[in-house]
Amino acid sequence: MSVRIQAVDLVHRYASGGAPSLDGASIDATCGEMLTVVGPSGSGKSTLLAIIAGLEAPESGAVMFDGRDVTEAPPRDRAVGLVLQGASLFPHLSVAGNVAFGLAARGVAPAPRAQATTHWLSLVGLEGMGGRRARQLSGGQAQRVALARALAIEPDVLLLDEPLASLDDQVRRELQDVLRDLVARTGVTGIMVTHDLAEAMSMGSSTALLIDGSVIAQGPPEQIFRRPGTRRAAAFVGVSTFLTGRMREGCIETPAGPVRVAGGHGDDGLVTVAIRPEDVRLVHTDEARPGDNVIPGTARASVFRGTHWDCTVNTALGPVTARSRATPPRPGETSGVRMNTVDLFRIQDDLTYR
Amino acid sequence: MAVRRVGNTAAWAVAVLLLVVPIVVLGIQALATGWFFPQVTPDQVGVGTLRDVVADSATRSAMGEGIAVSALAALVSLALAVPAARALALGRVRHRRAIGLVLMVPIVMPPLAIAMGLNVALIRAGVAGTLAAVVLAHQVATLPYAILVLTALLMRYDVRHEQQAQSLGAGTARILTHVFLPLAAPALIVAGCITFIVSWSQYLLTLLPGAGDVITPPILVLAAASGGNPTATAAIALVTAIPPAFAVLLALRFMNAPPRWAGASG
Repeated sequence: MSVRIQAVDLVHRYASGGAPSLDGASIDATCGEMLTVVGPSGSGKSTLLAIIAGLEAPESGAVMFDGRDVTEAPPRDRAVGLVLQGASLFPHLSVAGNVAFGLAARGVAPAPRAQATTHWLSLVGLEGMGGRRARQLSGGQAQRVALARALAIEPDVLLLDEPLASLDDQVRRELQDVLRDLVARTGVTGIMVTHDLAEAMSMGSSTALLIDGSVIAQGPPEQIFRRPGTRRAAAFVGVSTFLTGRMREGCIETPAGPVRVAGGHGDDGLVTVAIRPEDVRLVHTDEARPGDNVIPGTARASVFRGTHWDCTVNTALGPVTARSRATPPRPGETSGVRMNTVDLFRIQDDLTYR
Repeated sequence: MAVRRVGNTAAWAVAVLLLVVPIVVLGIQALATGWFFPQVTPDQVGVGTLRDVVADSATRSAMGEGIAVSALAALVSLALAVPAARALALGRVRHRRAIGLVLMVPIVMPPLAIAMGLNVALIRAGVAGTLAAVVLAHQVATLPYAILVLTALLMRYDVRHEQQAQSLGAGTARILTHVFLPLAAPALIVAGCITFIVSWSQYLLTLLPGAGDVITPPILVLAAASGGNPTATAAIALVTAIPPAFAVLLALRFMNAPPRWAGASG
């Protein structure tokens, strides 16, 4: 069974009078979907999961399972499967003992317990490994056991606290597939926290950005990534070019001259627009025509990222980063940056005081 | 380098002088008869006195009572120390340092003052002269050590195992028996051994609450010492040092073992 999980305006402090670890955080995970919560270290991600699991009590706010307030309910009454970074398998128990732990705690008789343990171990690809000890497993295997253990109790919600963070890339990708498959098969509602933006985008059908204890955006990953609504959200998902100026006749006035914005019309006063680095094109300035949104500049530095270059160009707007597959200009060379009107999007500037 | 080597050698020499030499002298004294100052070697050497001491019912009774008192004192101390040590090591406790200092107060107080005060209370409660009274009195000395050692050992205990168990549906009793006790067993054994040793050496906290009815090895050794027979005293001291020696070996065995909770892969 899967349920809708809501956290509403959660406030939490580890020390009374201290800084809040959660400051009005709200999320909404719909039935059977995987919600990923992404944020930097110390943003309150693990605290949010601990509160949903019932391991921490919020100062205020509520946790709802299918509209039922469970804020005060103890962990054992919540039907929550929990997978932590580093697995936290019980080291004194065998793999089968770990998977069967929750079933035994819930009073399942030995025969069906053994049957369920075998079933879940085979689902995570660990048939015949029930007799091994936790310390005999690789990191990836340990996480598979942790997943089987969490799902064996048939939870309403699967909470994943950076479960893949300590694994190498290949194992991580394998486990991402396993996880996606298991969530789809069981239909369990999942909430996964991670500091890895790419992982959050690829694993979630919905993504929430948690920064400084507050959820600043939640929505489909593509929308959060391509069209974040606020400057803080945009900066977190990798946008580094922001233009703030007065909007007049579809153009935003900037120190580098007017920049045309799609959908901009009339006089809208002071606005902020942003553009993703992969949407900024490096061009020769002599190719530029009026109205092309080409800003002249000088290449400052380029970093090769394996599949592309990130090239920073100094312009009258300030430094602008462009992502390019072609070899970028050398530092000091003249280069222009083109911003297509459709790639510029308006955001609410929640960082700059006006 | 040379200075460090000399320093290390000197440190080892002092350690041997303080720890090994007294035991060697005690061993020789227990085997010697007619060994008086300024004689360098004893007149006669033999195991006769040692054999007599081992065969003596008073020694056996004191050893039995000593083991019972110290084992019970260690168990009671552990039971009381676990919640305190968990709170100090793992909980969000305010004024942790101050609480730690208050818990250490019985160690720095004069034992006679504590023993006298406690004795009055035990007599009034009508339990003076019983094994239970001695076990209770020993808590004054053993509990601070149990809390101190357990707090240090539980500092790296991973509470996430208990959180996992909780979310899997385990109640408090199951978490205690199926998670905490198996994982913390080495720490509990080390703390138990040290507490046993502390209890084993209590004289005043046994003599007064025991009211002469509970005779443990320290009382026997001091009674022998006042009898003026150094060979018998040394023999009794040597024999009664065996249980704490085993406790030391057991503590060392588990002190060097990696914590069980560190065994999880990840």
